[in-house]
Amino acid sequence: MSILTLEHVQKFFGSRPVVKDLSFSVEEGRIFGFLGPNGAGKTTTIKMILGLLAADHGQITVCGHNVETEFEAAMACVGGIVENPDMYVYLSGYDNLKLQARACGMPLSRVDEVVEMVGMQLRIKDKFKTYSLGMKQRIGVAQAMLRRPRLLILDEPTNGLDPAGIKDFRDLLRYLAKNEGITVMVSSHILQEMQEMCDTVGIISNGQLLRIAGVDELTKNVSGRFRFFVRPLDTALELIRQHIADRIADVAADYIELRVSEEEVPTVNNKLIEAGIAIYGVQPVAVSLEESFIAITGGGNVIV
Amino acid sequence: MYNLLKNERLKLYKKTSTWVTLGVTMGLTLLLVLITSAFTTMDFGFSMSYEDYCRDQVSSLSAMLQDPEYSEDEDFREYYIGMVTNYRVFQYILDNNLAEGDWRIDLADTAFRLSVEAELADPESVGPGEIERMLAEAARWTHMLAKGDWRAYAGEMIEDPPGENLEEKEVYSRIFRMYLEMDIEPVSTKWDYSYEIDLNFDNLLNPGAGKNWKASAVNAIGENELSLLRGEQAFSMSGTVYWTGTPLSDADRTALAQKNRELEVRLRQDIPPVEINSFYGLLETTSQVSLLSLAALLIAAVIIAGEFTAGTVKLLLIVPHRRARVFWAKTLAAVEFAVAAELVFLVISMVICGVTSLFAGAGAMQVTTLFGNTVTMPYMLYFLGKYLIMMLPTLAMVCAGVMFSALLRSSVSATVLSLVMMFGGDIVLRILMVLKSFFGYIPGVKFLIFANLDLSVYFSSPLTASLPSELLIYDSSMTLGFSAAVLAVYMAIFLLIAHDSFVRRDVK
Ligand SMILES: Nc1ncnc2c1ncn2[C@@H]1O[C@H](COP(=O)(O)OP(=O)(O)OP(=O)(O)O)[C@@H](O)[C@H]1O
Ligand SMILES: [Mg+2]
Repeated sequence: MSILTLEHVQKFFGSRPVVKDLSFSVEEGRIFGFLGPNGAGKTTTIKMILGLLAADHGQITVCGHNVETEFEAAMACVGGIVENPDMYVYLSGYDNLKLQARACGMPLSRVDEVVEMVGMQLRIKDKFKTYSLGMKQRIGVAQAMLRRPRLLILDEPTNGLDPAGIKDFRDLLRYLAKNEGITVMVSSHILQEMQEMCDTVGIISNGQLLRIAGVDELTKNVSGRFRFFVRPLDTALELIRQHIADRIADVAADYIELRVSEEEVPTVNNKLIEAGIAIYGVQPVAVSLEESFIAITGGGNVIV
Repeated sequence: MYNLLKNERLKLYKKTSTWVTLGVTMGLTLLLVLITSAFTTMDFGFSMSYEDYCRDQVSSLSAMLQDPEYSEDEDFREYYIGMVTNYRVFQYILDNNLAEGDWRIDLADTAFRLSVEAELADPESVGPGEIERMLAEAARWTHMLAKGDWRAYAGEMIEDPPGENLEEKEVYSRIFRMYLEMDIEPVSTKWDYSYEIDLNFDNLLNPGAGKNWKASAVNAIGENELSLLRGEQAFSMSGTVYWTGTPLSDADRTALAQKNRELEVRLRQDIPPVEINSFYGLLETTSQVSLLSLAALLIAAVIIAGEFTAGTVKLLLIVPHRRARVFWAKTLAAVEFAVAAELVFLVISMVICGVTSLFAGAGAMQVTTLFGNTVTMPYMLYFLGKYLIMMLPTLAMVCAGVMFSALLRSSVSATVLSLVMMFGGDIVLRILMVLKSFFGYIPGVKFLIFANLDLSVYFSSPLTASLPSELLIYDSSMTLGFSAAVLAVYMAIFLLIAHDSFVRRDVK
């Protein structure tokens, strides 16, 4: 069952189209990565889902409720952070959460639950302005979790976090998805973490959805390269140069990387063994989402 | 919905800037209250005694009377007569040890003027027997003065009242009949140099004037009737009535008639106006210096804009409530804050005024006109009702602040625009008032919000014929009800615009 559906959604800022005929849906229980370069329209899309912007055309439904016509019901089942986790800096983390709990009609006991969930018990009475960025993100997630949402939408939640922070955050999301059974939509332009975090990835560029697929699917087969760990390397290299010089992708101290298909691997193997070269191992090269992403979006760094 | 209001309260009351704004305005206001009440109650001993004043007058007049330029020049004849008369009146006051406002001062003035005129008259130019007639008349008044019986004087004035025609004479007779009937000793309004006797009192009297209030009230009734009779606006200064030549408007007529009804009820029920240094006098004075509407406006100006500036609007609007509810919660919080601040200020200033005045006259009554009826009520009730009505302009400012807040979405711009409106509006109104006196009245100005923000004018004017309402109100057809209705319409429009902007516009 899809928990979030966008149908032919369009948004103009002035006369400029920012989101162009965007349609996709997110299945319940997934961690959905919403990937795109700067200015692609990620934040704009998320704001439309959360009712901050009105779509100029098309429909958005959350948990079966139309965001425009059944706003209250839709918002009751979706929580999120848009861009930075901006909160009332002069209030404590606890007071910030209390505000949100009251607005969402949740009991105050729920505040303690989410504080514990994000591991902020020790600093929760401090003023929000004294928190580090990572703590602010945590409070942001806690805030989004208060209303027991079925869908959690996080806009670039790892922005500005250090590697350890990113890992913590990833674990937190995994925990939430697993233990609370929540569907998560995370936007990002940091590709590597998407790969490690998400089940499904939608790639958006220039306001259009280019591709939506499982992470395995996106990373599988794309590379078409294998590493041959051989000795002596020089003899092997000479042999290969004689026959398939155009297939060499890379040469390192202990391996040669070749662009060959899976079917071709045994043939290459046999030839090398025949020439008396010892093979220590053959390894397929995993492609990063990044390469896939650049391949799909065309790799241009020009912001349009 | 109530939860949203509670949220707004929490945000408002835990914000330092709220307390700073409130603290500064409340502090300044209370300082003004203290200064005002101190100045009103303390006697700084600057004023001269009445006796010294008269002595001063006698010596400077006698010096001037020596001057041949006045005594011999025909052009100064009238002026010279006045000087000689005054000299004799002041001498009489000193010789007989009269107090300020003694009714005999008026009588002495009449008697001495007649005899001086007779003495200085040129027998050639006046008719035969005229000088004798003037002297006889003077002797009659001098005799009356010697008798020193005000009832006899009043009786004489009823028989032979001043006045330019029959109707005016009738007004004067009626006034003196009132003195007799109510057994009120008349007061003189001549030479009330220390303004102790204020003929044109409204609610507040200068310190010490209370003892003569009845006579002042009778005089005021007479003055108002003369004004109604002539259909002309008057103002009086030091006991002399000046006719302005400006015809009375319908509103002025209504106000004068109403004022007279109130004065008659006061006289009949013996309800003195409050003195300025009594408990209510101080409260009335100090409640005019409040700056709290400024605080309320500043708070309202950021209540929506602040969320945009801080980015918290994204949290505020993704809760399961329609935006309209969030809007009303915010507006309600701003209104509530304004009302609470005004009420707290009321309590504090009551304490301050109570302590400085030792609650003098706290049980006073007030006579006022409600929906066309002259009513008597405890002054406390009158004051509280008035205080509540006077919150209306503050609430209108709050609504304007909310509107700027929703439209501009920036704390700084909304604050600046609110301040420009508050102070600029006042300037615009003053300019319009000046333009009116040069180029005439511009229709429609009375519908401007600025022209309706100061409701205090309806509680103090028109007092009597002495204070033309045009000086205070742009358009004399305006009434308290009119201004309240205009403000209510503005508030509704402001809130509608704010609501529409908040609910419809994208949060980019
Ligand atoms: N307030 C605004 N007014 C006009 N145009 C805007 C506004 N906000 C965003 N845009 C434009 O909309 C487009 C999409 O912006 P959006 O913020 O959705 O991108 P994004 O994918 O979130 O990018 P980023 O990774 O940088 O956060 C951009 O071209 C941007 O210039
Ligand atoms: Mg963004």
